[in-house]
Amino acid sequence: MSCRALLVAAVVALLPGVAGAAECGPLRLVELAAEAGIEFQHDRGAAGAKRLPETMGAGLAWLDYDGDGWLDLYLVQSGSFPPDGSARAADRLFRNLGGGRFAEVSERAGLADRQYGQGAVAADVDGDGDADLLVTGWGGLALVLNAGDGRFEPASADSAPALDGWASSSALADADGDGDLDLYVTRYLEYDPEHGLFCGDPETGERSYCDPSLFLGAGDRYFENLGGGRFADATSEAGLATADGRGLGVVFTDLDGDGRPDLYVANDLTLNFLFRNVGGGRFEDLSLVSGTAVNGDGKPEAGMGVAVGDVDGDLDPELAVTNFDVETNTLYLNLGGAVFQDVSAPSGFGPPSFNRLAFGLVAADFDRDGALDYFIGNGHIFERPKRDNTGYRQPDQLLVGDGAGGFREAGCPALSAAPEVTRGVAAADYDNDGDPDVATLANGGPFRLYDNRPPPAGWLGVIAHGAAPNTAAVGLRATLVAGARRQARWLTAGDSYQSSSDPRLLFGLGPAAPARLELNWPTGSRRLLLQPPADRYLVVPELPSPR
Amino acid sequence: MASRRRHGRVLAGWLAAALAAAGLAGAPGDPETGLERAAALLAGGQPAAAAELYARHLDSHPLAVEAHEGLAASLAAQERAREAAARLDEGARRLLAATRYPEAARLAARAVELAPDSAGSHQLLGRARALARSYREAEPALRRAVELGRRDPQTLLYLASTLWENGGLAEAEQLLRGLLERGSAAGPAAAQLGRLLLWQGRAAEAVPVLERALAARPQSTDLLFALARAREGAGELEAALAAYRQVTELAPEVARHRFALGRLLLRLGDRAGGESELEAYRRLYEEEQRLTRERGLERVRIDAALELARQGRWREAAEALRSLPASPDALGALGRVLAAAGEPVAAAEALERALAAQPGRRDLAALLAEQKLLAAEGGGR
Repeated sequence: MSCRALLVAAVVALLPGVAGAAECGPLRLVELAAEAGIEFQHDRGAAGAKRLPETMGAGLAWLDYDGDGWLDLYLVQSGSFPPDGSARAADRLFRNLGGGRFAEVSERAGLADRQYGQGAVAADVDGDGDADLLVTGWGGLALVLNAGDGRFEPASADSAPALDGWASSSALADADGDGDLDLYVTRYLEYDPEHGLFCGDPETGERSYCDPSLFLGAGDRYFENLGGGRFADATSEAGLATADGRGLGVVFTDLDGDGRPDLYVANDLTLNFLFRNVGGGRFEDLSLVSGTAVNGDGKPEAGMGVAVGDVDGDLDPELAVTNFDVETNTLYLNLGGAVFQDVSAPSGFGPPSFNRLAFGLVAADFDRDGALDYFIGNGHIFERPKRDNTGYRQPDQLLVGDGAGGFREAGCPALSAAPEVTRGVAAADYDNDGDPDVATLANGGPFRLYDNRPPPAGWLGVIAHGAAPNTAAVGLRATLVAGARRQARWLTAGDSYQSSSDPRLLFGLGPAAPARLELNWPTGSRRLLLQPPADRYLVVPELPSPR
Repeated sequence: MASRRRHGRVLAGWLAAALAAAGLAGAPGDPETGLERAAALLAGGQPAAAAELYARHLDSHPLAVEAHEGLAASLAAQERAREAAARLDEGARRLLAATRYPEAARLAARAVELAPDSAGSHQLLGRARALARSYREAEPALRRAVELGRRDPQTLLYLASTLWENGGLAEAEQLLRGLLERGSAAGPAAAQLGRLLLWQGRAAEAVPVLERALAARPQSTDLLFALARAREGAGELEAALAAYRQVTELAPEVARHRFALGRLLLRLGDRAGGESELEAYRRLYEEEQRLTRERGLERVRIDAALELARQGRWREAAEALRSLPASPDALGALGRVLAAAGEPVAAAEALERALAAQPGRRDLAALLAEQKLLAAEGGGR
C-alpha cells in the first residue's frame, strides 16, 4: 500500500439528511446508503425451485483499494441460479470520495466477476502494499489482484487458489509464520441443484428450502501462500482434512495467546471447529475440548457468522456465533488456554436472539464507551417461517456491552422499522470521524449503510503498517489502557458472515485519556506508545522483527 | 411427528374423495347422506335435518372438519349457538389429539365466534394455535381464557409457555411463581420455571426450583440434566458432577449428557476422564447426525411421493413409496395413497405392515378399519 493513509484528523461529518435516524440506545444510527450514492440491490436469482444457494448470500468487504485513506466498498452480487455468467451477477466496487459520497467504479477498476457470488474478503495477498480481493461463490473462488493503479487483474490460473463447490466465507492470516497471508475457505454443502427432493408442503405443492441436514458438508480448504499471492492447497498437510462440516463463517485469530493465528469455523448443524495453530503451518483440532463445538447444552447449532472480541476486558478474545431462531446466538467466554465457556444466557447475549435467525455480526465499540458492542444482522431463510413470532424479514439488532461481559439489547427504532433479510454485515469508519459505522447486505434486498452518531466521547484509531509481505499487519493485536479500562483488538481479514470489515483498529475511550497503547505484530515485532494522542488515527509502522 | 401430522392432513381430503368413489355412505358426494346434501339442506332452510346428517357423518368420521363446521352452522341457525360451540370444541379436542393443530385452531376459532364468553373455547384456541406454532395468535386467546375465569393450572402453564415463546419472560415467571406459591401443579410449574430461569442464565435461582421439580418427577432425566446444568452455572461443581454422573448412568446414550460430563471433568482436572466422555459424545453425535439425515431424506422422499399423489399421479406415488425402505412412515403413506387411489385391499395390507412396526399409530389404525370395511364391501381393488 503506497502512501495510503496520512494522519486523518477526526472530523465529525455533517452529513445531509436524517431520514431513518432514530435513537438507538445510547447512539443514533442513520441509514444513508442512497445519500451516499450507493444504490445496490442484491439479486438472489430465486426462480421458484427453492435452491438453497438462493437464500444464503451475500456479503461485502471494506477496503482502501486506492490508498487514499477513505474506505471503499465491495458488494457481492449473486444473479441468476444456476449461474449464467451474465451481467446480473456482476459485483460492484464503490469508491469513497470523502464527504460521505461514493461513486461506482467497478468497470473502471476492471472488475468483471460473474460468478454466483457469496462473500468477499480484502487484504494484501501478494505483498505489494495494496488490498487485493478474494470473492467466494457457487463454483469456487475468484482472486483479483490490485495492480496499484486503480485497477484489478485476475490472478493467473497457476497461482490462484483452485477450488470448486460452494464456497461461502473466507479468511486470511499468516498461518504458517512465513510472513505472507494464507487462506481458509469454508465450503458449505455437497449440493446438487437438481437433487430431486421435494421440500415443502405436499398438500399445496408449495416448495420451500430444504433442510441443510439433508446434505453432507463439503470439506473446507486451506491454501498456503507460496509467496507473491501464489496459492497451493495444503489442507491435508495442515491437518485440516477433517474440516468437513457445513462451513459458513470463519475467522483467524490468536485465541490462546501464543502469538499464532488459530482458526474458528461456524458450521451449520454440525460441530463448529476450533483448530489451534501449533506452528509450522499445522493445526490441531480442539473443537470439543475447547467447548466451542456446540452450545453449553451439548447441542450442535446452526452456526452462520462469527466474530471475535474481548468483551470483558481481560485482553483475550471471546467468540460470538450467530445461529438459527430458537437456538439463540452463542457467546463463548475465553477462559484461557483455548478453553471456552458458553455464557450466552448469563451474559444477556443470547436471549434477545431467540426469535431471530442471525447471519452476519460485528463486534465494535459503537457508543465509544470503551466496551465492545455487537451489531447483528437477521433474516430468515424461509419466506414463511414455521413460527409466527419470527418473520422472514427481521430487524437487525444492536447489543450494547458493559465492558464486563454483559449485554443488553438497545431499543433501536431505525432497525425495528426496517426489517430485512440481512446476510453480510461489516463495520468500518467510512467517514473517518472516529466511530464505527455499519454496512449490511440483504439477501434479495438492499444494501444499507448505517452512519453511527454516538454520544460525545474520545477515540483512538490505529493504522498499523506491517513489513512486507503482510503489509496490512493482519493478525496484529493491539491493547490499550485508558482510565480504568483495558481493551484489546485483533486485526482480522474476514469474519462475520461472508464479509470483511475495516482494516484499521478503532478504540472508544469514553471520558478517559489513552495512557498506553501496545501493538504486537504477528512477526513478533512490538511497539509501545505511552500517552498516545486521542481523537485521531495513528499510523504506526512495524519495526524490524526480533525473530 | 410434524411429518406424520402433515401427511395425515394432506391425505384427509384425498380420502374423502376416495370414499366417495367407493360409494361409502356419508361420503361428500353422496346425495342422500353426504355433506353436500347436508349443506343443501342447511342452505334450503332446514337446519335441523342438516344437523342430523352432519352428526351422522361425524359418527363415522369424527375428524371431518367440514362436518364439524356444518353441524355448528346448523345448530347456530337454530339459535343453539352455545351447543354449536360445544360441538366445535369437541371437534377441536379430537383434532388436537390427532395432532392436526391448524384444523383444531380453525374449529376453536369458530367456537369462539359463536360463544365469545366461553373460557374453554378460548383456551382450546390458544392451545391449538400454540401447538401449531402460532404463538403470537395463541397469546391473546389464552389471555382471554384467563380473563374469563379459566385460571386452572393447565391454562396458566400454557400461557406461561406461550409468553416465553413470545419474549414475555417476566410475566411468564410471575405466572409460574404464582402457581408455585398456590401449590397448584407445583411439579410442572417448577419444571417450567426452573428451565426459564436457567435459560436466562439465572442458574443459582434455578437450582432450588429444579430440585423441587425433580422431587415431583424423580425419574426425569431431562430435569436431572437441567439441575446439573444449573448447579454448574451456580458454581456448585461437585454437586453438578454428581448429577452429571447420575444422569449419564441413567441415560448413557444421550449425547449431551456425555458432553456436559466430559467438559466438567476437564474443568476439574480429570483429563483422561473428560476426554473419554467427549469421545463417547463424538460417537453418539456422529450416529445422531447419520440418523437425522436418514430420517430427513426419508421424510422428503415421502413428501415427494405425496406431491405426486396430490397431482393425481397415484401409481407413480405408490411406486415411489414402495421403493423406500419399509419404515412405518413410508408404509403408512403408501397405505394412505392406495386408499385415496381406491385400492383398499392393497391399502389395508400396507397399513397392517405399518401398524405391525408401530402399533401405537391411532391414525393408521382408524384408516385400516375403514379400508377393511371397504374391501369387505367389495369397493375398489
